[in-house]
Amino acid sequence: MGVLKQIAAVTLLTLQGVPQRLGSSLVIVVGMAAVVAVVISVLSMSSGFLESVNKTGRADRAIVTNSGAITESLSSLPRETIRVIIDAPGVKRGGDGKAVVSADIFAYQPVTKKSDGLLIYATIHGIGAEAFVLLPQIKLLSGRMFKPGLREMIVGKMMQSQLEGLQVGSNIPLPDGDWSVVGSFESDGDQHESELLGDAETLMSSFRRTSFNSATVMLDSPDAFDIFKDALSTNPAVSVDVTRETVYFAKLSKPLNDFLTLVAFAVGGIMGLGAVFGALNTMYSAISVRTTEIATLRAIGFGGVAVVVSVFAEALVLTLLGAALGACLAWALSSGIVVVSDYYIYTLVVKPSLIALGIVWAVLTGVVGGLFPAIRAASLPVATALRGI
Amino acid sequence: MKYLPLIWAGLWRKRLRTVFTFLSIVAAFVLFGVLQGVDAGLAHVRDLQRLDRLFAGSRFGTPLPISIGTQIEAVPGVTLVAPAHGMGGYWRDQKNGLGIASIDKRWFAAIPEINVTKDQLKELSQTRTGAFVSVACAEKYGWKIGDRISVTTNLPQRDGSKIWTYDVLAVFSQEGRDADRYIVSNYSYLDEARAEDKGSVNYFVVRINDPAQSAEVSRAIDKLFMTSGTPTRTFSEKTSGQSGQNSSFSTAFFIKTVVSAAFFTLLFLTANTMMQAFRERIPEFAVLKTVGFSDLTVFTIVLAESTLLTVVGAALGLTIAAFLMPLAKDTIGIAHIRPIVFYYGGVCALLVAFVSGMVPGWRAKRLNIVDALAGR
Repeated sequence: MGVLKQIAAVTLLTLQGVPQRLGSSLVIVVGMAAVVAVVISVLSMSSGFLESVNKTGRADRAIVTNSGAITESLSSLPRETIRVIIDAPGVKRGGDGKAVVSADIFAYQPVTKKSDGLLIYATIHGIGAEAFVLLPQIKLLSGRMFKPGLREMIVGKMMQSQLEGLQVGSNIPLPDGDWSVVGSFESDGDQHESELLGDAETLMSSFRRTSFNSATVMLDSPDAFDIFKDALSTNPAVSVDVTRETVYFAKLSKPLNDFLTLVAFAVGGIMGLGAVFGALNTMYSAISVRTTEIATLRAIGFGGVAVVVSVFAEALVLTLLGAALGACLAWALSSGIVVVSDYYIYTLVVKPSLIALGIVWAVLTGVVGGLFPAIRAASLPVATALRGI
Repeated sequence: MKYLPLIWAGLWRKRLRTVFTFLSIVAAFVLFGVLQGVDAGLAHVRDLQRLDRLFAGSRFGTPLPISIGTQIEAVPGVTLVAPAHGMGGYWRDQKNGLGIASIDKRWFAAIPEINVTKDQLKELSQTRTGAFVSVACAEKYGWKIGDRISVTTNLPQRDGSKIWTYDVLAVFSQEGRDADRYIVSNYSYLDEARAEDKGSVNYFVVRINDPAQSAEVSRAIDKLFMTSGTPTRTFSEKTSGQSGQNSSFSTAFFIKTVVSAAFFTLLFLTANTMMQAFRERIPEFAVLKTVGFSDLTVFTIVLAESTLLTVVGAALGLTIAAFLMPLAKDTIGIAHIRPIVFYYGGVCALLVAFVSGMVPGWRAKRLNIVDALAGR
């Protein structure tokens, strides 16, 4: 008990002294805030992107592409292959006995961004009649559904809010003439919200294509994936890759995610080193200012442990304060910002896990920055220190 | 110069503090070097993009007949038209992506930055399956002249195979695009062997005689085909570059803003620490003045100390950044830090040295010996 009391007393005393060392203490707080703000802001990009992309995938859906195709848009599936997919085992069938399969096509059109007037490629996604059974998350917000056979599309709310000329009633020029936007929809924040959806067959004839890009399949259950995949891969009539939707989207988001993670940790790491050196400097100067005080405490019977803990506590309080400041800054800076890029539109998200990461980072900096100064503080020879030499 | 030992001794007075300050300066400048390196690299790529080179592509992604090239040639201002078919593929594994440009000899006239010799061009025209590969491809995949490479694409040949085979004839470099992985091959090979869309390309490279006319000529080309079955969309290389890389630029911009704010914070903090260190040593400067050092000499010594620390730290930081940069070649596409970055870094370092040395230096110069010695 005595030790705990000592620790409490010395720590309180130390912390009360912090305002007197404001200048150098700020070095830790501001430095830590900068590191945490950078790491969190950059990672909020990747977490926002991942959240939107990963939401799009479900374990009980599968994507079929031609064998070797890297993405859906680079794939090509002839009608005969689609028929084989529809008849394959493991595919869920609706009440009317129809297979819940959508043969998809993808096309990209340059559209002007509202924010800066630059062109980006917007995704036009042609879907089959069963698509709304397949994608139950899609809900109309305004207007009406497109009618197959007519030049009509509906627009995701994310895309509509970020790109020009996509209000309900506006026209989009495609190869066979103007298509009209007849409705807008939301789909639980997934990637479909940054797409234009239309009827695949009608879009195919507009773009003069003879084959689909890919097919999306609802499975009987997540476990039916292997049955479905085996049936298609052992069928000599088709040459396709079958990927579970969750896996497909995880793979799709990997490059950007890897890049952002690299940036966050490389930049955060370099800055973190700078912050550690700054913290070491501050803590060394803090104990050097407090030399007489510490020696006095030791002389009147306070133990080395109490002194060590007090130095650690000071370092940790300052780094955590900085981390909190940095997290707030990152949140204010990036939360809610919408990134509009070719093919993808997503919102930055500062997740609690990122804030936790910032705190861990701060604790590490505090521990390293406090460790050596604490050891020095505890091993000060009392007699010499008291003489102020 | 004779004060060098004194400056040195001053720096090592508090060994740990100097070392830590030095290391945070190094960290700040590593960050600066990498960040500005990427930025200057991208800016350089933009500078190399030309307004007098247009890309006429298909408006809706449908194939363009190669024959419309002659119509484009007839547009006033156009000096050269090079038809090209671009497609993506991979070598052995999906992660080994590359682009394939199928072209004829006009391509090299339209893009003279690609450095190949006349003999190599002749060899390409005589070798049906010949290909020139970019330096990045050769380095990444270990291809050498004489190798035969098989690239999996999405384009079927007449026999249904989507694997295209090429013979490596030369490795070429192209300024500003040294990270691009692509190969250049004969259009005649592609068109003869493919199953569908024969006689078509997906874009034309168009050279014009006056860069100032690039927007007008682009519009004139698009107008020509507006009501045809194959409408075009024409951009100058510069504008297409800007909108095409737009997505990576917006990402880069965000990261850049955040990180530069952090860099200046780091520098500010370091400067703050140095100033504090000088303040603690005011009595020492009083001693120097007592033994006869002039005001100006003391001032110079303080400034020299801060300059030495920051400039050496900056030099080390930028050197480390220069070694780190090539590691990020694959993810960022910039392999080297341009010299201008070192120059900016130097200016930055001097600025920090000046700011952090100026205030304490001034105080050291002005201080009253008696007060300072008494610790007042």
